Amino acid sequence: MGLTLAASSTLFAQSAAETLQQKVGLPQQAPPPIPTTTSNGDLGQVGIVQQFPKPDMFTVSTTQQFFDTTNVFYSQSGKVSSAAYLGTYTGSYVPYSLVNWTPRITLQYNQARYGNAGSGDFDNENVAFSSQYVFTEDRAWSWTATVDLSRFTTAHANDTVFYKEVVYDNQISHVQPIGKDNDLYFIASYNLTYHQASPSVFDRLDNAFTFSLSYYPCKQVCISPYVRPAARIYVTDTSTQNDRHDFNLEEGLDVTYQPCKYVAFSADVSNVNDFSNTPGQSYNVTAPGVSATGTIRF
Amino acid sequence: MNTVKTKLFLSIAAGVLLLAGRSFAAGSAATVTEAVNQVDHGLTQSTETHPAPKGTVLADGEYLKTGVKSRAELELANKTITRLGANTIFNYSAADNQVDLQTGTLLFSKPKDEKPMTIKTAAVTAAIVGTTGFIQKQGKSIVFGLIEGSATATIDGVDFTIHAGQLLKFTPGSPPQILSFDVPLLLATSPLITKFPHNLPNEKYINREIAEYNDLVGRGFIQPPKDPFYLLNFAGYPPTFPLPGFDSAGQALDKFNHPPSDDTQQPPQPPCCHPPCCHPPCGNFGNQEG
Repeated sequence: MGLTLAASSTLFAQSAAETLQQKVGLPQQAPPPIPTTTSNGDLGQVGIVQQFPKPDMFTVSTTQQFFDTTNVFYSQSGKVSSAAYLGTYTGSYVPYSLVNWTPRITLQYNQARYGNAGSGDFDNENVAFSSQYVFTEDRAWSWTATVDLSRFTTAHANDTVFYKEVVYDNQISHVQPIGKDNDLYFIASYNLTYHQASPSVFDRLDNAFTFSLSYYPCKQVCISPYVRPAARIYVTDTSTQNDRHDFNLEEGLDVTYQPCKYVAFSADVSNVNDFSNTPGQSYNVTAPGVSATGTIRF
Repeated sequence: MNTVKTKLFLSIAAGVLLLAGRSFAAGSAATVTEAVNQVDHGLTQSTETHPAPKGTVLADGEYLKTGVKSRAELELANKTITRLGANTIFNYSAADNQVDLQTGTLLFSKPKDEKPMTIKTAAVTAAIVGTTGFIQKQGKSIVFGLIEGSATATIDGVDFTIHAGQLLKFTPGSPPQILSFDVPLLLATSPLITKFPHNLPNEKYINREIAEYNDLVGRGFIQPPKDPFYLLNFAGYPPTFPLPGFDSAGQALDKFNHPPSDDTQQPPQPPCCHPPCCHPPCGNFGNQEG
C-alpha cells in the first residue's frame, strides 16, 4: 500500500511538474503586443513568428525515492510498515510529432525494496504507448490516450511473475493560471482507466479526478497540494469478491526544487484511503518521502 | 667601440622586428573583401580617414565606416566574414578577438572552429563560437539575432541564450525581449545576403537551418503571430504515464506470499469418513484408509 501510494504520488508529482513546464505558454494577464514584421533597409524583412518548441525525441530519466510507508501490502489487517526505496528508470521516444499531437513510446523499470518487509520487494517493467492531442491554442486542454503493459516480478533473483496488467487510460487535463503574477496554477484532470489484470480478480475500471494547485514562490520551487478521488469498479466476481466497488481517495503535498533543467529534488507526503464495499478490502496508507530525479532530453 | 656598435645593431634589429611584428599583426587583423560606394577606414574616428577599397588591410583596432547606401565585407583574422550595412561604424581587435559595433548593421558568419569571439555594442555583449547572425544598433535600440548556431548575450550582467531563429530586442529602460523570426524571409530579403557575391563560410549550416525551419512550419511548430502572443517559450506539453496498479500488485504479492487456504488453492486431500472431519462427504478416493 505504501508502495502504491508513494509510487503513485511520485508519478503524479512528476506529471504535475511537467505539466507546469508549459506554464509560460499559457495566456498572460498582460500579454505583450503582437510583434509585426518590420522592413529594414539594411537588414531586410524581419518577420516575427510564434514558435512552439517541439518535444525532444529522447528523454531519459531516473528517480531515486526513499520513503516510509505504513502499509506495504495495501491490506486492511496485518498492516506492515517499513522504510522503502523505489528506483525508477524511464526512457521515452517520440518518433514524430506535430504541434498538437505527440505520440510517445515509454519504457519504465521500477525497483521497490522494503527495509522491514523483504517479502514485499518487487521489480516492475512497463512499456507504454501514448498519444497526446492538444485541443486549444493556449495548450490548456489536452487528451492523452495510453496503453501500458506492466509486469511485476518478485525480487532477489526469484523473478516470478506475480502480477501483470494492461492499462488502458484516457486522460483529459486542463491547466489554468490563477492570479496576475503567473505563479499559481490550477490543474485538473479526469482519467478513465481500465486495468486488465492477471490474476483477473484485480480487473477494474477507474474513474478518477485529480485536482492540484501548483504555486511557484520562485522559478525553481514548486509547491503542489493535490487530491485525487477515484471510483473503482472491480469487474470480475469471485467466491470472495462480488460486485466490488471502491472509493479511493488520495491527497498529498509535493514540494519540488529544480535548480536546473537536469535535476530536481522533491519532498512529498501522501495519504490514501480506500473504502470498499467488500469486507476486508478497505485500506489506508500514508507515505512521506524524499526523491531526486535526473533527466536528460535530446 | 665594438660593444657600442653591437648595442646599436641590436637596438635597430629589435626595432625592426617590433615594427615587423606590428605590421604582421596589423596585416592579420582584417581585409576588406567587398566595398560598395563610400567605405573608409582610420585609426580613430577623430583622425583623418582614408578610403578602404577592396583589398585594404585594416590594422588591429582600426575602424571601418560605411556611408549612405554603402556596404562592405571584411574577412577577419579568424576567418570570420563580417558584412556592414549603410552608416555603420565598426572596429575589430584581433588581439582581443572582439568586434565592436558603434552604430549601424552588421552580419557575421564565424566558422565553427570552437574559438570564441565577442561582439560588443554599447549595452549588449554577445559571445559566439561558430555562428551566423546579425546585430543592429540604431539610436539606443539593439537587435541581435541568429540565423544558425547559438550564442549567449549579456545585458547588465544577465545572460540570455539565443538560438537559431531567435532575436533579442533591447532598448535601455525596457526589459529585453526574445522573439522568433522568419529565417528564410530574412535571408531572401536582406541586402547583407543578397547583395554580396560570396557565400558565407557557414553556408551548409544555414541551408540546414532553412530546411529545419521549413519542416517546423509544416508541422505547425512555427506559426504567424496570433493574439494573444506568447512571448516566452514553453517546454512543450508533458509526457504522461498512467499509474500502474501498484496497489493491486501489492495485494497480489501478499496473496502470492500467503496463498489463501481455500479449496482451489489446496492440494487434493483424501476423504475422511470419520467424524468430526466429514466434510467433504465421503467418497471413493482410492484405498487410503488402510
